[in-house]
Parts: sequence; C-alpha cells; structure tokens
Amino acid sequence: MLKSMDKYLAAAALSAKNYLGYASEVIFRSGFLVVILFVFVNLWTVTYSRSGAEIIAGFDLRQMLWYLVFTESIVISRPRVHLKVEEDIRTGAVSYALARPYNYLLFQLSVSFGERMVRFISTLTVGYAVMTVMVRPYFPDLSILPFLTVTVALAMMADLIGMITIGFLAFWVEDVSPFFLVYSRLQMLLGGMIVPITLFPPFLRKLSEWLPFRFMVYAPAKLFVNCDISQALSLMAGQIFICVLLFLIGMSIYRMGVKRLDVNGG
Amino acid sequence: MCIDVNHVSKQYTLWKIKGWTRRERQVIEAVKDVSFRVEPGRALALIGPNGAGKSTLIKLLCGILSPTRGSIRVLGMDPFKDRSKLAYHISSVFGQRSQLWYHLPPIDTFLLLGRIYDIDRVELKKRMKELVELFDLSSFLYQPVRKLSLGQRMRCEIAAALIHNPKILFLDEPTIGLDVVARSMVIDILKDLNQRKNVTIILTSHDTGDIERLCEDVIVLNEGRIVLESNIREMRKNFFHTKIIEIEFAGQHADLDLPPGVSVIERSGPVVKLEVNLKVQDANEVVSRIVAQNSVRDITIQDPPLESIIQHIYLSGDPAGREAEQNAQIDG
Amino acid sequence: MSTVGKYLGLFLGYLYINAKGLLEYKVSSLIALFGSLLNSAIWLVFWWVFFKRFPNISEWQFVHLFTIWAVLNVALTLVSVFYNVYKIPAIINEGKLEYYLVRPKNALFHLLVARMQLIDLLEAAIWFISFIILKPELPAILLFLLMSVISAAIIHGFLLILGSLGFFLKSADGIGTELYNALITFSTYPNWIFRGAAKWIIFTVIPAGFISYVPVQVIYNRAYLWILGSLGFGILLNVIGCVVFSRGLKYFETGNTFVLRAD
Repeated sequence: MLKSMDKYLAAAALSAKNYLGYASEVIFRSGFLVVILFVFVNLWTVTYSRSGAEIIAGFDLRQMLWYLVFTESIVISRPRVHLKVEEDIRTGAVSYALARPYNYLLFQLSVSFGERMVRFISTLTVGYAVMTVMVRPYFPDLSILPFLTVTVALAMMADLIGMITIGFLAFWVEDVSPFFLVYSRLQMLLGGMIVPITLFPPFLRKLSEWLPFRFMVYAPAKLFVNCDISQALSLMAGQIFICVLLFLIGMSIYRMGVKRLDVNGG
Repeated sequence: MCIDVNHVSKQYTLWKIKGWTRRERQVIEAVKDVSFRVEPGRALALIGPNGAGKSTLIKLLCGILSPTRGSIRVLGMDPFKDRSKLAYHISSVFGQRSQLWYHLPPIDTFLLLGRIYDIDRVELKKRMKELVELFDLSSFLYQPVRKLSLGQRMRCEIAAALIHNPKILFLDEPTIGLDVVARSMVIDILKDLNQRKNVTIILTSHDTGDIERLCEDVIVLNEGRIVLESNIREMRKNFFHTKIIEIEFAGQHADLDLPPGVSVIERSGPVVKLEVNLKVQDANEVVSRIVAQNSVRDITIQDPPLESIIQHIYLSGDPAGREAEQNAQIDG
Repeated sequence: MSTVGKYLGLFLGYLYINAKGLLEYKVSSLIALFGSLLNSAIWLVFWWVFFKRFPNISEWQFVHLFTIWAVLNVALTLVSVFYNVYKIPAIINEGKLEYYLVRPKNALFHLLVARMQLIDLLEAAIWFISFIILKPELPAILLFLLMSVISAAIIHGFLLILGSLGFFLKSADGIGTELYNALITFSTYPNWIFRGAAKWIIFTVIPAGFISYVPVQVIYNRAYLWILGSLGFGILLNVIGCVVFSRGLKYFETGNTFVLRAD
C-alpha cells in the first residue's frame, strides 16, 4: 500500500518543483492580498476599538487579523484544478488516463497539491510581511508546527478533492464553472474565509457545521492563532473523515462518468 | 499622382532595460530614405523578408505613423495630418486581423461600416448589392462569420474594405492561410477590381504567385531600403539568367554528356531537371543536342519561379540590386 | 448630418451590433452574471451578520452598506457600455489601435463605443429594483440613479487615465489592474474604517470615497453639495484621461514607442 503511494508523492514533488520558478511571480503579483489585508486591518481595528470588546467570536484583535491572513493565503493559493479536469474530460484525455496504472483523482490531487504548497508558502510569506509592517510580527508556538503542517495539508487536500469532484461534472455538463462558483462562494462565507464562523448567528453556524467547508479553511487558521493540541487532534480526525468521504463521492462520480463515456463514446 | 513618397525615413526608439535602473537607447531605422511614386490604377507589390519595413511603410501611407524624415502625399493629402479625411478614400485589409464580427453575419458588419463612413442608406444599399454580386456573397451573407470557410471570410473581409468606395486599397498578406482555390478566387477579384474599377492596389505578400498574377510593379525592400523597383515583366527579363529544362527519357539513358553551363538539379527515375545558364549556353541548343543523342518522351522549358529571382536579389544584397537596375536601364 | 448626429449614429450602430451579438453567447454571459450576483450576495450576508452583531458601531446600518454595493454595481454595469476602457493597454500593445486610427472618426470615441457588455445591464436592473424595494421613496431613487451615473463617470475616468498610460509604460496593464482592484475593493467598505492617510487616499489617488461615502451622504443625509464635488471630480478625471490619451497617441504615432512591430 505504502509502496503504491510513492508515485503520487513523486508527482506532487515534481509539480512543486516545477512551480517553484513561478514563486517569485506570485510574490510580485500579490497586490490584491495587500489591499484586502489593509482593508481587514482597518475594519477590525475600528470594530474592536469602537465596540470596546476584547474578544469577538473567540478571537482577540491580533488573533482575528492573523486568522484572516491565514484564510486568505489558503484560498488564494488554490490552483484551478477543476478546469484542468474539465478540459481533460472535454478533450478526451481522461480516457488515456484509464490505461495508465494510477488513480486519476489521486494523480490530479498530487499534482495540484504540489503546486498549491508552493503558492501557499509564497502567499503566506507576503501576508506575513504585510502584517508585520502594518501590525507587528506574530510567532506561533513552535510545538504546534507539526500539527499545523498536517492540518494545512489535510485542509488543502479536502478542498482539492472537492474541486476535482466538481470537475468530474464535466462528464454531464459542458461548463462546470457555475458549480464551482457556488462551491467557492459557500466556502468563502460558511468555510470562514472572510469571518470566523463563530461570529455567525445560530442558524448560519449550524449550516456551517453541517458542511465540509470549515475543515478546509476555518480549522487550520484557527489552529494557527490558537494553539490547542487537544483540539488539533479532534480536528484532524474530522479532516481525515471529510477527505475520505469526499474521495469516495468523487470516485463514484468518476466511475459513473467513465461508464457514461463507455456507453456514449468519448 | 496617387502616391508620392519622397526620401522617407522612419526611426523607432527602443529602450533596452539593462539591470535594474540602466536603460539603453537604441534607434532602429525601419525605413531608410525611401522614394517612389504610384500612378492611379496601378497594382504595386511590396516584397521583402520579415522586418524589411513593408508594414511600417503601409502604416506610413495610411497615416498611422508619421515619418521621421521626408514627405508623403497620398491623393494629394499628407496622410498623417489629414488622416481622418484621407480615411474616407483609402482602405486596408490585414490578413491576420479581421474586422468582421465573429458571431454575427457579415451583413451586420457592412451596415456598421456604413455608419462609420457616413454612407446614407440608399447609397449603402446600392454599394452592398454591387459588392455582393462582385464577390458572390449572397449564399452566406446571413450566416455567422464563424461558420464561413476561410476563403468566404476573406471575400467578406475585402468586400467590407470596399464599402466606402476607396480609391486605394492596402492589402497586407490577404491570402495567408488560404487554400489554392480560395486564393485564386481572391486574386481574381482583386485583379478585376484593379482593372475594371481602377482601384489602386498596394499589396504585401509572401506568395510570389499572387504577386505575379495581380501586380504590374514591384518594390523589393530589404532592411528598410528599396533594393529594387521595377516592372514585373522587366524584372523577369533582367534576372533570368537561367532556364529550367525538364526531360522525360523514353528508356534507359546513358550518362548525359552536358556542355558547360548546364547542370543537373534533380533526377528521379526517367525524369531529369537541368538548369541552363543563358550567359554561357543557348537553351534551344541544349535541347536539340539531348534529343539527338537520346530517345525522349517529353521535354519542357520553363522560367524559374519569381521566388528564386527574389531570393537571388536578397542573397546578392544591395549592390546586385543596383547592378540589376543599371542593367535594366542599359537593356531598356 | 451634424457631427454630433454622426457620432450618435456611430454609437447607435455599435449598440445595435453589440445587442445582436449578445444573443450569440447567452450561456457564458449568464453564468458570469450569476457569479457576480452570488459574490455580492455572499458579501451582503457577511455585512448583515456584521451589523447584526455590531448595531451601534457607527451611524451606518445594513441599508447604507447595501446602498454602496448597489451604487457601485450599477455604476460598473454602466461602465460596461464602454467596455473597451478596460482594454486600452491591450488594444495598444496588440496593435488593435490601428483599426480605429484608419477610420474617419475620432479614435478614442470610436474605440470606447466599439465593445459593450450589454448583459451587465440586466445586473443593473436587478440592483436597481432591489434598491427600490429597500427604499421606495422617489427622491431617494432619483438620487440613487444620479449618483450611480456620477460614480460610473469616476470609474471610467480612472480607467481611462490608467489605460492611456499604456502608451508610455509597458507595465501599465498590470499596475492599472492592481489600482482598479484597489478602487473596487475600497468602494465596497464603509469609509469610516479608514483612518490617517487612508482617509485622504480614498478621495484622491484611489477615489473610492466618491463611490461609497458620497452617495450615502447624498441619499440619506441630503448633503447635496457633495453632488457637485463628485460630478466635478468625475469630469476632471475624464478630461485628464482624454489629455493623457491624446498625448500618448502622439507619442505612439511618432513612433518613439516600445511597441516595436517593425515588420
């Protein structure tokens, strides 16, 4: 089993290496990140000072700001893997993948994961620099680092599997972008990208808890600003469960799609 | 006089960025001291390799760019200063760039062009009817452009360029990417336009076949300079120092006993191609000699294609061009 | 026909042909419309949550925030009628400018009206109707329309200046996009979150204050003098834009330009 995972690790490493060349470009093209962080710093500084609250939704001001840097970095670093899958299906390249000794979903996951890691680290570096200038530096507890790395990786995997699964809808529809739009906007709000989900009124919070998005964005960012190892373990369990669940859903959609391809011709 | 170009040069300034802050200025002369004239109703070809300055010259003539030195008159106007006025009387077709609306039928583009050129409705209808007949567009006038073949599209493109009845038509690679039939049709229409409607045509093309069929005059540019300005027929005469003889032998042929000035350029089975240098040998003599010595099934004598003449001009560079011009004058 | 008549005719000609082209790619434009509305909806939910949690944070309520989103979006859809204003650097760099230069009409006017993203007007209608539902008072509705038009003029002028810099700077496209994104982002937040230098920036370099703060002042607080300020600023930006464009065009034509397409 472990042996057969080798090729996926190799694919991810290769993709990361390939993308390293673009890392400097990511850093230079981060004007949007700077602008949005500037706005967030202003918004929350004013909100905390005017409302007089020390803690809002379980975060103090510093935690709130670093939480947002982290969520933005996770979401911005996302490669457009759903479009890659859509193209593979439209051009028929997916049928060639059938003849190869790998799982198509896992392969796409590895490649996009490698790219995303490089992008995430470069984006986070920029965000970190911007926040250090605008507020002051933040040093998370070093003991949390291994846990953080694992939750970030799991969060990204869950998200990428979700995106690949959306790409698989291209077996039935011509353009998967509306589905991705719904997915990404729900993630933006209910995943906790623009605000921690703990700020929500009860019904929105319930909704968020029933959806997988909080494991993709909220969970790792929360761990980043609030180092609680006991929480980390239950979080990871949840993330692994979501990854497996999404993978099974993705694979069954893929199988149905391939069958359809078989019946109708590629 | 339709076009009068007088000692025109065009320079571009290119800033090269070196390191972080240093910038180096580099002047590129795309057109160098070019002079020529075109009479109304002529068809002129501009030829030259990439970067020779053909497109820059056309842009100068349309008034898109202003000359660094020298003067240009087109239909009695300064194209750069009177660009908007001149625009009513000239038109241009750029092979790679379409002015047709891709998702709409060509008729819609024609109607829009009517607005752009202030053509009143009655006149516009008349013009469109003429062009539809001339270019045989009626079968696809109402079909979206994206569904047309490349040849049909190019016919529409040229028709669109003619909607305001221009006196001069500039064409930059109009036949690029077209198949033989479509290309031939486009050239026939242009020729008809030039000869019957007296539209002056200025054409650039990489296809010397097009040029031979359509144009009377030719200007060869290289590195911004005019290397040769000539009549196509004269050019042939002056540059044909060779002829090609193609022979199909009836059976086994012995090793050919070739006189000096004749060389074999191709050999495939019974067919042999010879090149004869006319300065040394007479082509007819070579033919009679071969026929006398061998049994021959078929024999043809051809001029080399225009292509190879042009290649010859480029290869021999500027001095040869001058020499050729002088030769032409002596011969004339 | 008078000159004005001819130019109006040209505008109508392009309006007709763009409207006809609209029917050709319905699906992709509807998806874009859906995406834009969905994005706004998500942000509005965020603001609804925000104001529910902090009702006394300022004199602003959710309705004010909804207003700036509506004004901004209606303004953007109006700018879409002159869609090429977004594409000026690309038009210059890809040599498409020549198409307009060889025509007998003013090149800037011609290129601005040549492409229209008319599907966006549907979005404008949706925002307009939702504003009417939220605030069904005639003066407010008229002021809303007026401020949307002025905001559109400001965005248009801003884009025109940035785009025309493309004649001089190869990187104008990238810088322009960044500044435009900053303008739009700043315009979707209440002005009172900005302090210090940022307060000045949003009324000068990145004039988001005119698009967010001023309409709220005019519609809810009857600060009518602000209308003149905004209008003046909008006109100023467009005049500067025209000047930069014509200067740039001169520069382009005399060929002292990096756009080297010698062939």
